[in-house]
Amino acid sequence: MGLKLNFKLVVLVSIIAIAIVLRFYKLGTNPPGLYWDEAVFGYDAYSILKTGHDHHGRFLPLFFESFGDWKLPVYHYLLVPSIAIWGLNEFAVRFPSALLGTLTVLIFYFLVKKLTNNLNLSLFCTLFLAVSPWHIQFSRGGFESTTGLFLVIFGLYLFLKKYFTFSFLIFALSMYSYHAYRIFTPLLVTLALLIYWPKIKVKITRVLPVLVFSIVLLIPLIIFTFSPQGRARAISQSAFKGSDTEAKRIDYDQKSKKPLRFLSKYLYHEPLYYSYLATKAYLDHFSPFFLFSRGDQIGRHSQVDMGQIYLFEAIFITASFFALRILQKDAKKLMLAFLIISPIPAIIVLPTPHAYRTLQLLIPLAFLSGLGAYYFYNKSSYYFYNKSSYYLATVTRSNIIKICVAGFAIYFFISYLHLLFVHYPIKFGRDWQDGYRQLVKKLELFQNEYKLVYVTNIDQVPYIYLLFYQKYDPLKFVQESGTKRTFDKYVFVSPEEDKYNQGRLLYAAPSWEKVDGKWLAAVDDSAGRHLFSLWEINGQK
Amino acid sequence: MTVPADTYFLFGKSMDKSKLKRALVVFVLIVLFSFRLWQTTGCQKFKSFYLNPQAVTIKVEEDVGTDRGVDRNISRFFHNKYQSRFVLTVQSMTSMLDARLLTDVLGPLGVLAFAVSVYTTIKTKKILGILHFFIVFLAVLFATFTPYAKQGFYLWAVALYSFSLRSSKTIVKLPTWLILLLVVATFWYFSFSWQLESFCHDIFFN
Repeated sequence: MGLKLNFKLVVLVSIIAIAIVLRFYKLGTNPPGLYWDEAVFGYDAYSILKTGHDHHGRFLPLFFESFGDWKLPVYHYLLVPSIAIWGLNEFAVRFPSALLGTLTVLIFYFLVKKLTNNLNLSLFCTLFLAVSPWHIQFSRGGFESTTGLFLVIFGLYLFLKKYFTFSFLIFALSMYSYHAYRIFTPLLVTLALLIYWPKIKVKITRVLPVLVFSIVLLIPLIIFTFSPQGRARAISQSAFKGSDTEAKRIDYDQKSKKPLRFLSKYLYHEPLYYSYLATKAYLDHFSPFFLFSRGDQIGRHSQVDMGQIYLFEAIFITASFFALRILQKDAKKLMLAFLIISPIPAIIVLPTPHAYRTLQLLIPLAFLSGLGAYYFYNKSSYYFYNKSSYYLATVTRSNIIKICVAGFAIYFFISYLHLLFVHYPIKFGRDWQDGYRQLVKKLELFQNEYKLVYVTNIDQVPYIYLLFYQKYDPLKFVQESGTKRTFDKYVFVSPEEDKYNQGRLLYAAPSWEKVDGKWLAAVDDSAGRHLFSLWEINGQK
Repeated sequence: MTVPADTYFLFGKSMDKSKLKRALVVFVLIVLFSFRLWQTTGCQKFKSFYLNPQAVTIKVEEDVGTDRGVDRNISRFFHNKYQSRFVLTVQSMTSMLDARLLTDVLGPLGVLAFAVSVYTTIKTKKILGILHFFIVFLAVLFATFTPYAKQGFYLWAVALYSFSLRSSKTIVKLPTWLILLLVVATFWYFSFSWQLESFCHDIFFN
């Protein structure tokens, strides 16, 4: 018994070690570059560390102004100690995400163990989460969603352990981590309360005050959610726009078959049409094409050349529906509820399917994959462990299938590693704004000779990279009223804007722009693609 | 002769309540599926799920080209025509099992019926069910390997419809209000998705 337990401990430690390697190896350089959201997270945290204010000059803000929207605070404040330890760089910005991603794997093991009381099954599920391409992708970037997922899983585990005080506080905190959890967490908590109501009912006097206290903690978030700032992102990316409804109604009238054309005036009422759009968006997240084949088409969200999860998981997920009967009723209900509500935060905004807003979906999927694999391999383990000498004689056709599936799984896992560490940095540099670190380093070589530095703003917010990579003093930035348009001697311009009547200046232009000046240097990204050129312009003043 | 209380007559033939309900469910499913097929008559250009063999060569060349500084044998281990053909075939086939596409073709009630049919086929392992499922699989394969998109679509749709009907025995066990709700939802969904966006590139009715 002790030996078996020790063996399982070794397996668990090995899985966690795999999770660590997959999340931390080359973290600073892969993904290549630094996406502007990561850059602004990092610089705001650096600013908080140095001055107590964000880079807009707000003292310890609860909500952070970003580019066209406002961000929730948890990830920013987690970055403060990370940046204090590792400095202001890519690794520090991604460190909390990778760390919490790894801890999610560990907590998931305890969660499944608590739910199923089955060590083998827990190990299978944990393995699937540890090697999940979906989870690795978001653990390796400075994404808030990974933090939110960790908090939700931790909160759920504490809930099952009946530590309601901590559980509800952590659930409340998860809602301050990422926008999607403002919708997902309350749904999950409500369903968990309903599923475990008979057990909670007897402790209602303990649960109710904590629940009420947690709701009180959420009041600032609720006020924020209904404020113009809180709705900014939802409005800009909303799937529900009145003008679209009318355009669709006209399109329907023109294209549909005559006898049923009259339906358009009844069908295209906004609530009805929106419910259709929401249904479509919801279903997108269960598409096998999205899950197993091509994934989210945004390069930051997936490997694009493969699904969000492995193709072989389709076999295990299918098998899991036959294995559900081995679970206890409550565990089954909880995981199916988790699965059903996971895509809901993504159905009100475009585009869909969206891997980032539905990161929580990978938890029930990892659970089902683990359950299916456990069910699939359970019987063959008898031959593997107990009758090894007798093995060859007892290999059945089903065992050959099992071995083939395992070989298939290993091949796909190795192929994924190849995509992650060889293809990804080469193919998806632009998705991560790769090239700005190199640009800033090149600018530093030349800029001391110029009083004015112009930088192209083709990527909208290059100012944040100059602040980030130069570790620009946040206090100075605020004092000189720096903006995304200009600060210090930097001016950010579009290719159409005039650069020739400003005197002598250094201009960082996009590689394709024709500039009337003296060429100084080329700036390439990590994959060697020419992105920018540095020019000296001697214009009139 | 005394007729039991649960016995009804349909076209002069006596049947008990559950059989009548089942016949009604099958009838309603056929009507809904026929309505959908009628809608597709306006489609001028069906979406193709055809896997062009040239795409395999292009994919291998692209992938090998990305492997800078990687040993050629290692690169070939990950990117070869067998692996690429398999991956692209699976991509093409999974795109035909897309939840949204299936809902567009079958409607909510049809999707439920299809899922139940798959489940019961695997569960009961009846040879007729397995053969029927195999026909659906063949239809998916046919659509993947034929450049004739229209024929591929109709063969696949009819295979799906006929396979879904196998679940009628289980569907009748659902509460009547739920079946009615699903029928209404299916009609609503079919009416709404008139443009058949997920499987038709160009739809126009004279």
